[in-house]
Amino acid sequence: MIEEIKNLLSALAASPVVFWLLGGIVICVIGKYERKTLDRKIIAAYGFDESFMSLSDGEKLSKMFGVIVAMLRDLFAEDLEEAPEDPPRAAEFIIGVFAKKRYRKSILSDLAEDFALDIASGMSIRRARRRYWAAAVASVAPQAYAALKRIGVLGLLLEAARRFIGAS
Amino acid sequence: MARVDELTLIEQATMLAIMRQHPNAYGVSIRDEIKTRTGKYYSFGSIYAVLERLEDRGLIKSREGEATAARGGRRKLYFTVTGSGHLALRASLIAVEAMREGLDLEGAWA
Repeated sequence: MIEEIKNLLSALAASPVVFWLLGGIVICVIGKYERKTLDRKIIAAYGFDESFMSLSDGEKLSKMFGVIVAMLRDLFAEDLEEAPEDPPRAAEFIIGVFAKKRYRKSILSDLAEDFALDIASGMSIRRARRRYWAAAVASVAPQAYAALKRIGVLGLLLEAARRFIGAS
Repeated sequence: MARVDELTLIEQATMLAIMRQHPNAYGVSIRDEIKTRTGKYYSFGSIYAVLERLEDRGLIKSREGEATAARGGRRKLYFTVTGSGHLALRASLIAVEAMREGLDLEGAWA
């Protein structure tokens, strides 16, 4: 799962979508890059048709977010369709990002044990997954909140990215 | 007299749970032991935050155990109380007992 997320993030980071979203505006503002050139890169990368060029900025953003959302949906749909008896991957990902590296594996394996026990006790998979989510959020919420108070939202995101990269 | 680490209530409970579960004290068993004996439920995040503090102070130590299928092939992390941990826990419990001694708590709040 972590590998898949990393691949996805790598693909996004290397893609014109993120380039356009994060860097494109700045680059266009300072006049060193034609917006049309950026649009052409996006069209080539994602197979949009030429009508993309004539869309408003909002429509372009919407279309590109649609691609990202579809990619994420496909990623997490796999979760439900292929291995429902496994813990929710997205919840595991959240633990992987926010839990301290030192005990990350232990927390994940403890949660997995609880999940397996729930399933073995005859609990429905849906309910077991909900319980996993609740336990996962409860496990990282205090750390996330403390970090949020200490370093703010932007710092928290950067810290999560640093930990995520450091975990590889 | 050497300085002895002071312990909070949750730190006391965690160390006692580790001793009770020895040699099978890991995240799940520690949480369940505390829940069974005190009725208090702590998330793994809270449990491991306490374990981290205790381990950093040298009051407990950890070792990796076996991987099991029930845990998705992941290893357990077992905890044991160290010598200085025993001293700190004993001193902490004695202090609580000294404060409690002579008080009639039965119906104290009635």
